[in-house]
Amino acid sequence: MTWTIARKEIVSNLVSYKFFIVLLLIAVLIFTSFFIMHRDFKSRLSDYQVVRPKPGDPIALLPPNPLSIFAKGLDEALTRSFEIGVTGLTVRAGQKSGNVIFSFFPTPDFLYIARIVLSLVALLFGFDQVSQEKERGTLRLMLANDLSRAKILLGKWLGNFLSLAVPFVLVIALGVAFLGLDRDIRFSSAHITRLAVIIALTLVYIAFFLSLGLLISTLTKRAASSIVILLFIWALVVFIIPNLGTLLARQMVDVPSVKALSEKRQQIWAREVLLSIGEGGGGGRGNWAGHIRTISEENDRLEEDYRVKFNRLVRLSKNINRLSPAASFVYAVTDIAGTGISEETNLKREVVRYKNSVVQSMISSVATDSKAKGYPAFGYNYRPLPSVFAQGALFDAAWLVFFNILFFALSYFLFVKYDVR
Amino acid sequence: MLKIIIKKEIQGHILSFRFLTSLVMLLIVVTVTVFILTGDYLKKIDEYSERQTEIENYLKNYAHFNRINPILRASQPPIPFHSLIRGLSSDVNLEEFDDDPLPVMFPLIDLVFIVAILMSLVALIFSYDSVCGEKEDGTLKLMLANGFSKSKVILGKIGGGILTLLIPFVFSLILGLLIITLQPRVAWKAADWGALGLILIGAVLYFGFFYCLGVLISSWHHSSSASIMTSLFVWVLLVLVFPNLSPYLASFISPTPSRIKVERETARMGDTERDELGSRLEAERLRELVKKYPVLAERLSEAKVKERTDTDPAFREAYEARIKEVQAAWDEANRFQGEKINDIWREAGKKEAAQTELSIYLSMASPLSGFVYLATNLSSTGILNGAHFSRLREIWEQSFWAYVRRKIDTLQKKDPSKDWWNTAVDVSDRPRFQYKEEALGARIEETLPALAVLSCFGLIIFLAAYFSFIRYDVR
Amino acid sequence: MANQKPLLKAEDLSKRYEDGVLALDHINLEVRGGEVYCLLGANGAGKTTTINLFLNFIPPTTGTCYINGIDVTKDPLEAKKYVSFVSENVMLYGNFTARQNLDFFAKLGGKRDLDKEAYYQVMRRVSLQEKAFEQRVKNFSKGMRQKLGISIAVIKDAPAVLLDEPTAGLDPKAAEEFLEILGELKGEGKAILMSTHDIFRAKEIGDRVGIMKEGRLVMERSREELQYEDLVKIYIDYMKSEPLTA
Repeated sequence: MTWTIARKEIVSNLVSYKFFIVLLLIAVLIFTSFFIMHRDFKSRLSDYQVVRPKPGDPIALLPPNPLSIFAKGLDEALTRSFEIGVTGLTVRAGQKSGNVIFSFFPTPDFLYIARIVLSLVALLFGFDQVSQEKERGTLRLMLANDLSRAKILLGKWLGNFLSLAVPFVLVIALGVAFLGLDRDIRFSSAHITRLAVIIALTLVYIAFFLSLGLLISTLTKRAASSIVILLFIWALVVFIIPNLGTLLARQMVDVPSVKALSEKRQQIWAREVLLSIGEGGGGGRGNWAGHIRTISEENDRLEEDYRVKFNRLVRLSKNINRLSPAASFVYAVTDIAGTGISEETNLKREVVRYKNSVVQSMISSVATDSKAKGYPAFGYNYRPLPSVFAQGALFDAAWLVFFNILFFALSYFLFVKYDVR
Repeated sequence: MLKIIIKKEIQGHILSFRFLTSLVMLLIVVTVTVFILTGDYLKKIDEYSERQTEIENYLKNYAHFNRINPILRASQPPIPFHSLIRGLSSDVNLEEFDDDPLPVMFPLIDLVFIVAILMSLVALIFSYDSVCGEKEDGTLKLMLANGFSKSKVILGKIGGGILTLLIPFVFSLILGLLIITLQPRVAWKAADWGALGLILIGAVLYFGFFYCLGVLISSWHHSSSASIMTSLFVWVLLVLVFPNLSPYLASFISPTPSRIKVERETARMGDTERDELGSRLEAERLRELVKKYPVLAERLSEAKVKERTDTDPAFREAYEARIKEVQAAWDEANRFQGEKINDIWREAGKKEAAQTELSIYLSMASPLSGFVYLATNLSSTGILNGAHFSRLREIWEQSFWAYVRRKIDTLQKKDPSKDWWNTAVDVSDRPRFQYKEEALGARIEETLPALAVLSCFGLIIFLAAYFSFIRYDVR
Repeated sequence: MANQKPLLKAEDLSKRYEDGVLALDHINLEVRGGEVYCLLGANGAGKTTTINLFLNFIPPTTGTCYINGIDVTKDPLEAKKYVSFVSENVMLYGNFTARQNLDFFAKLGGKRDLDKEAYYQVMRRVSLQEKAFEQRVKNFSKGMRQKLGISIAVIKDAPAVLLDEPTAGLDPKAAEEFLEILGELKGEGKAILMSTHDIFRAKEIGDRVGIMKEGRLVMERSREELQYEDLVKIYIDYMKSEPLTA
């Protein structure tokens, strides 16, 4: 029986204008996004080839992450050039800093499309499921049979989910296949696994909004009222809660601003140089080394102190944000793609470690007045998937599933009470 | 006649469920947003003065001119408008190790966002069934049968609808502004209110566009459920997609050289290359000078040099000349390298400016961009302010470096033996960087094109809706 | 026929809504196989509420509805196996063809193995035009949709049939065709309960007629009794008389 209803939903969708528009939108957006982000990745990659560190350079520079095509996240920050010198780190940022328009509008990557458009689409599929059947009079006809309300709801959910999920997966598969044709993007098997997990998470995300739409449908008698509620809830969940939540967290945790931090670093460096000169320029090789060490150590203390406070901010921010599954979705997908906050924190830790080892050899070569031959190269491994899950992605995924079940259950309870007359 | 229709439209809207929902929603969102933004602004002010204090404390003990550049930078203080509009002011700080990831993952909500995303959505919600809904209800036929011309009907619909939209917008705005004015530490000046007024005009043009768009789409369809789908499709493209694609498209059409490459090159030119050049020029000049003052050929310790400059006027003269030559050599090296660096940056800057300009033009395909630029420019949080700030910074830098030169000269006259560039100095008499917002008049002038574009969009879509309805089949 | 157990039975049925309105006041009626019972009354008299209670769309305040002896509130799914329903003014699935609509509801009604020809036969039986079988329902006239509605009931072949204002808005010819089919169903031994405010048709087709007023079944007459009484006059008199107090 459930399958009869699901099948009816699928066929009904296939011949509806709504489905046509939605399919068009998904296809256009996803293909455009893949095209744009692919070109962007290629240009970043060719830039990387131009500036990649030569062997022996004390430079930490990551190549662009192929998965950033799907979830750009913090990849711009992750692929900055970190150059180690006696005075500390010099950071050079990439392309986008030159064109300020990039900062005005969010990146149109797959994550953006999934988070914002697919959620809207799923809501649009769900929101008139019950109210429309009532308006058509077919709900009464259905219920005049040996058919429980649970089966009706489940059948509707299943049919609509398949109507969304199957075209979505097909479009993605097609897009990824096209991307795979490009030799320059080497999708390793690890990348493919992560991409598969991201797609699975997206399906859970879509399912949540379908359930939410279904819930809204059981709350209203007329489809026209549901549309308003739906759009506002969508704006609230996708835009407002995640973004205001972060700002709210900022108010409650005392974190120094990043500009203050950078200024302090400059002050440490300039002060130590001055002190070293004051102690006597010529006879101070030994104590210049001492000053380099002081700079490095004080910077590390600053970094440690900031990290602690920043992690507190991120934790609080996450806890507030996670009221919205859209935020959970962003955290989970960026973490899995390797372009998330945790990955950046991890990279910075590794860069600091690298800096300290390079500075060590710099200090000893300054002390012995010799020129260092060459420094070890910087190697970085993205956090493996199991530890990504352990450090939060699993929670976010489970949270999404929980939301799904909750809203479906709520829909069921409301549907049982629904006035079908 | 027209007034009757407008009145009916407004009444019909006000009594509807969606009006109530929109009103409540906007009230809540605007209030919460303004409240949080204001709190954040106050925090930012405190942070900014803390930073200034830190810098002052540092300068008391360790200010030396050779490395004062990275310490004493012109920085943008928070301005009162930040309690309403943020624009580009979220500091991601990508050029430093300490970048802030949160604004990248979760961009800020501000008034611009609320208008751009929410108000346009509300406008569509109100208008997507303005024509086809009436047809479905049968009231369209009734109106036309009772002597209302199609022309009056459509004018009344559009006029009534936009007037209705003003109600939740203005109410929520008033509430938000109340929060701002009640907060004593947020000091809005007259120019700010003027700018806000103009931004609101832009906002009305913007959501007026979307209302007319909704009416247009509703006149393409005969069922409301089809109309809402098309409306949302178009909305997603205009609001969420076109503007975001534009900088990427521009970067493909008009690429810029790798910033990392340019920075590395210019850093090298300003550092190692300059040092080599400076040393070489210094050696050259000193070689020449020794011919004139053979006494300088001697290598003396600093103590000895001080002793001799105090006692021997001829030696003093020679030594002062030496200092001058050294300075001249390094000045030349700096100037030469500086010009090379400037050339490279100028080239890169030109390319970047070209790409930015192209991005702006491409993004104007959507009225959202026009409104965003208008609002951020008028509120000094956008591109215009960036240019204005650069100008202010340049002026200050020039006066500051003139001050540095004067100071060094005075100090060197007093004690020529000291390396004043690397000695701690008292800089409490320095010219300080003062940020002032650009004059409202200038801001308005720069924003007129965006206003014109928005008006054109509005006019075109209004005419389209008008004529589409005239041709609508009401049966 | 009088000895048979009633297929549809309402026993002491009352319904009071949350806002206090008493929609039904101790209704008792029975419909046996091969019988057509017409429920007459003005709008708001309680006819639709009665049918809604039979279908368990709303729970009764007191009393019970039985379909084939099964209490509809205790075992609704079992009870619904024995009843077909023709609703007033259904839009059905506009983007589906007539056959697709029929196919869907047939499956829900438990008839899973029917082929196209079977559907065509039923649609012919209800006098739906041949060319409409594979046309989208959204272009159908009201009469065509009602015919499709009754074909849904016919194909389920359940022993009881509930109809809610089935001839409202139909032109005379369509209404006649509709009643013909009802007659056939009655001949097959089905129990038919039909609410209507079409007095004339009620007189034609009803074996028994009940008049509802403000939630009460104020009068019940059989076909024989109506031969001597003017139903129209009785009905109008009831409508005009003082309102009954709740």
